[in-house]
Amino acid sequence: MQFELKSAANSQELWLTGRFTFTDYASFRKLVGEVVETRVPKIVVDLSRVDFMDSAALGMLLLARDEASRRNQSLILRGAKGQVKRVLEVARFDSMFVMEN
Amino acid sequence: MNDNKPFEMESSGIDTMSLENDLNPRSSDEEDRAHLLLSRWMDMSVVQRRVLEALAEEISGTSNMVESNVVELSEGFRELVSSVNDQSQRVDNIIKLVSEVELDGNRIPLSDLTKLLEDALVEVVDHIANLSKRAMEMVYALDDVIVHLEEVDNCINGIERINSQTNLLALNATIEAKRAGEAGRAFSIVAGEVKQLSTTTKKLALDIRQEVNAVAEGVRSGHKTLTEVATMDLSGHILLKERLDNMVAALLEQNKSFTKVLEEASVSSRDMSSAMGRLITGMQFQDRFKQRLENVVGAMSVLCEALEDTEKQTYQKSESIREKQSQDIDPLLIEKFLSRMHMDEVRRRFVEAIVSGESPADDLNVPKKEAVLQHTDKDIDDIELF
Repeated sequence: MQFELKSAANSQELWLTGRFTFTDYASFRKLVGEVVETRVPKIVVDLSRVDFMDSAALGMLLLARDEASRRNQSLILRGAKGQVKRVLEVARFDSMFVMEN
Repeated sequence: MNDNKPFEMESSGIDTMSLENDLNPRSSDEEDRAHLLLSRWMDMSVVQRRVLEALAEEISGTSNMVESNVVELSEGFRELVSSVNDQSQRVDNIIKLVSEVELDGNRIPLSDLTKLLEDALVEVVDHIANLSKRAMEMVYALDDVIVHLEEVDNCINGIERINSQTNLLALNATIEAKRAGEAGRAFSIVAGEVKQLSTTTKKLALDIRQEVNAVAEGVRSGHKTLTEVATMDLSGHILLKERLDNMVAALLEQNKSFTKVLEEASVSSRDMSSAMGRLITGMQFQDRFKQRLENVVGAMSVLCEALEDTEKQTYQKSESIREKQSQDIDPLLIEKFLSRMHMDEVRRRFVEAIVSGESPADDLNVPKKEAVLQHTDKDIDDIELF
């Protein structure tokens, strides 16, 4: 799993590439912590280059959402496709996150 | 009345016969020929009468046979209608049964069942997501504990560092006290106390380190177990819902097709039932046919009676006619009749009736049931011939 942080006008974008699994928790947590600290109103997690996501990754996204909402930031999931999209849909993440294509 | 006129004229001729015989011999010859012709007509009348009687019997017998067969057929069709109605009732029950399932003693429509299943699966998926979240929360928390434990370790290192300096200080103080001699005696006691404190602190720091190590060991073990739990990927289980959704949709689709076929079967049964009802109604017209044939037979009886009357009147007028009649029926005529009759039993009855002058009525009124059964057993196609 590779991470890339991109800054925009009033948002921070976290681009993920590869398989998003439990083994990535330390770096993901650290990055989320950094992004949250910037206090931008909008945090975008781009999943368009993620081809697999396990249940631990779902847990990490839910924790990131809690973290962001504590600081009144909105967390947006963008570009999910294939298995990632299906898992997110079945787990009804569309009712908990703003989902973008 | 007109028919009787010639007989009257003839009979008046007979009365004057004896007178004219002597006067005109040709007249007597002509009279003989007329007598002969009349006796043939009388023979023919007998034959006609017997044939008419035989035919009337044949018609009545056939009509009765048709009647009893139609009654049996109607009865059979009624039973069929009742069976078909039962069948369509069963099909309707099946339609009801296949669209519902019994759950905890309640009948639930399949469509509601999919809703129940959907709700249950959504709950399971929610639990999985929540479980993953809690597991990760624990992982994060234990990570933090490990960081804190490392800090505690650093603190113990600091205590030990200070303690070793204190210990060194105590040692230096003891040396300086000795050098001061008597004046340094009290200071030497303080230095000894400080050394004692340092030794105690060292021991305490060691104990803390051991305890912290034990805690760290426990936390690492917990972290390891939690990692094992968190790495158990449940995303496959989440997608199981997708598969179950598809399976349920396929099942519902199949159930729909099944119900459609059953509904078609039910409609066919009802069509069959109403078609048979129409057949039964149609067969009730047999009664009309019977009445028509009775009318025909009635007319034939009147004709027979008229013939018999005429025969009697003729015999009364002339006894010699009866003597001249050949009591037998012309075999050639019988042969001609028989050549037009193709069924053995009809031929047999006909010959018996016209030869003896009595109709074998009882034989006809009872339909040849055994023969019918044999026929149907043998080959359905033969019924037409029958």
